[in-house]
Amino acid sequence: MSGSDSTFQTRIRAALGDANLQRALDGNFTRARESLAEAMDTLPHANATRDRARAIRIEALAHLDQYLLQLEEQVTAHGGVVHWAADADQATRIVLRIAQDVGASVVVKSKSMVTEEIGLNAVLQRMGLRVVETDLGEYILQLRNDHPSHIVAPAIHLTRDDVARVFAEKLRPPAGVSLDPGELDIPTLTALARAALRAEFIHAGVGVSGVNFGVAETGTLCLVSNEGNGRLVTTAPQVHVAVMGIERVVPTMADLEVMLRLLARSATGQKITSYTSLLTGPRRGDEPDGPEQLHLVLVDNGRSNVLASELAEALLCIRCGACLNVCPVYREIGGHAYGSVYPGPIGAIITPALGGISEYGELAQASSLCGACQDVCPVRINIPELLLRTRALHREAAGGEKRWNALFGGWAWSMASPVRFLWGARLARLGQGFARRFRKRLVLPAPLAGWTEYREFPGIASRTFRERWAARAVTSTDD
Amino acid sequence: MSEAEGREIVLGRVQQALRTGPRLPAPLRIDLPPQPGEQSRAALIEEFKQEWEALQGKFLRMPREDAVVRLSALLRELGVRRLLAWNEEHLPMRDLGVGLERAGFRLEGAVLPRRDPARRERIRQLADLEVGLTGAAAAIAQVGALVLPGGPGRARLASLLPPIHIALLTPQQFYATFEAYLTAQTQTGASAPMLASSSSLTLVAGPSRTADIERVLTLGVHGPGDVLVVLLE
Repeated sequence: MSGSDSTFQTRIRAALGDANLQRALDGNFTRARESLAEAMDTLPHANATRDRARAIRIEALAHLDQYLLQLEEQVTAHGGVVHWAADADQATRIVLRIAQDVGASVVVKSKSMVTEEIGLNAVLQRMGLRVVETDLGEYILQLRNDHPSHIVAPAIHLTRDDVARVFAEKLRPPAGVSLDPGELDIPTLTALARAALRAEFIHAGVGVSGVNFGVAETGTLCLVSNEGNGRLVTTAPQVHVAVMGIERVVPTMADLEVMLRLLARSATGQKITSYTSLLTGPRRGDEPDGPEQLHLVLVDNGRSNVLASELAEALLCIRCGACLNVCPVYREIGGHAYGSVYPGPIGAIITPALGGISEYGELAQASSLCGACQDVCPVRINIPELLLRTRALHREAAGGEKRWNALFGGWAWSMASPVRFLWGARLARLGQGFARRFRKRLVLPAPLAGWTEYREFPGIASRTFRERWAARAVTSTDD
Repeated sequence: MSEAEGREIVLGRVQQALRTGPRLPAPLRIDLPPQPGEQSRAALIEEFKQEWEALQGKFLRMPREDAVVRLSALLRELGVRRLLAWNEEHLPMRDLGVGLERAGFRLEGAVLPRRDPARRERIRQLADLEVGLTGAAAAIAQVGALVLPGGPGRARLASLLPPIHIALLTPQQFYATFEAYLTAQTQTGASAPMLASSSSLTLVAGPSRTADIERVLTLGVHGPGDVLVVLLE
């Protein structure tokens, strides 16, 4: 109920008032839904494939310890090193130590949500390492000391002139290229970024990536990318560090192939991303290239708790973002309003689940439970159900709420007896007639006024059903 | 906390969660029928060509006998002299490398030194090569993707560093789906571990792309912007 605005509500209002963001979100919503539908049309047995994908993910989680051990065994057998991090702190320390062990001063990264979750960049930077985000949008934002405003295209709030200006300011131009912002078109800007980032890829001592899926059967790490930075990050530097949430396992290669039918289609409406890398261990003795060292950092950071909780189904998530793209709430407020690494419908569940129900449970309020998310989820997560459970947990953690308890207690009391119900209805009718004299739209008095701020209170009929029935029985001569 | 302790803790927690719960939906058994696909070679090639070109890839067919001459002409037209190439035994045509070198082009393998700074320096040199030349293990018609294995003689960088990538294929290499390709491998006795038999296997579907600036599609961000499939018949 309304009280003073929480920071979430403040961010929501800010998002609603941001015209640029609204335009971008509207455009994204329409485009994304169409391309998702089209892409799924091109997949044979699409529904059965989603059922199978769900079954694969359930199997992976139902025997998670087994598959993690198998993954560890296989990665190690192929020359990789596996590290286990109980929490964010341990995870960042592990990555830091790896970087320090090889004397790296620069780390290149491809976009990885789990590394944002654990706050990796800040830790590395505090210890004197330079961290370069290599996704074009993230790179531009980094140069500007800016923040992503949008999950789909992080630099969506920038024009080409904005980009030109920061490139002119921060990049050293290659020979013969003028950096006059007025003369820079998008292909030239892209070429400039490509050259600048090439130098970074080659110079960096360590490349850090996420992992889309870890295949237990063979110890293979699957990573998808459109730009190619994912490939360069995992090939050019001497050391590759792959950071993976423990829930991102699939049992076999055959399972991976099924997941790959769905991932790109659900995420961007592409049949497949430009690049899908299957990485099994570091460069082998007789191979021409590849990283000399491969480290896999398995991150728990609350996932095992979630596995034991009633929100466990949320761990099926493969981070495609389809639910964000179809959510009518996300369409209005965008990702930034959620104030968390994971926004949108699934984010409203995982963020409280991982980060604390009391602190983040409010995010689960931002939903009309329309179910559009569940309709598109490639692994058919029952998001509306999980949102309801999250709300209930949030309420419990907050010790219940006196007003809710009083309201529903009163409601239960008056509904428990026909006489009370009848007199309750009569009183409400009286109150309604009285209220109608003063205003057209029915509003509830405070402290319930928040409920009718954006909704109409249903009108109360002039007679209850029982009153009508009683009247009918008297006047009717039929059976 | 030591790393060994971290491992104990994480495994312990997971095992505990699985013992007391887990609150997962019930396990299901779903049998998925194999995906249908074109069966005739010609139809597969045509489907691949359409998907590949829709991704802004280019597609050329040429008789083997003409390959050296026509590729030389193509490279000259592109103004290119140096290539980062897979070893000959992994290209679908023997003597292609020799033929191109006789025509005046320089083909380099990409065997990197193991340690920096020599390793770094070698990559810097390789980044100047204008064209990458590879074969492929397969072409997937449904999505327009090439299957590029790694391993000895098949540098990852060949399909990644240069701005232009040329992939040589033969008609026998076309499959309807990635699933069909995997099934075929299993039937010949090379099972899933085949995919893990080198440290890298990459599916490449067209050029590198982004829309991060003003949502305008731009090709060739970090990987090649020009990708050409040459079908040797």
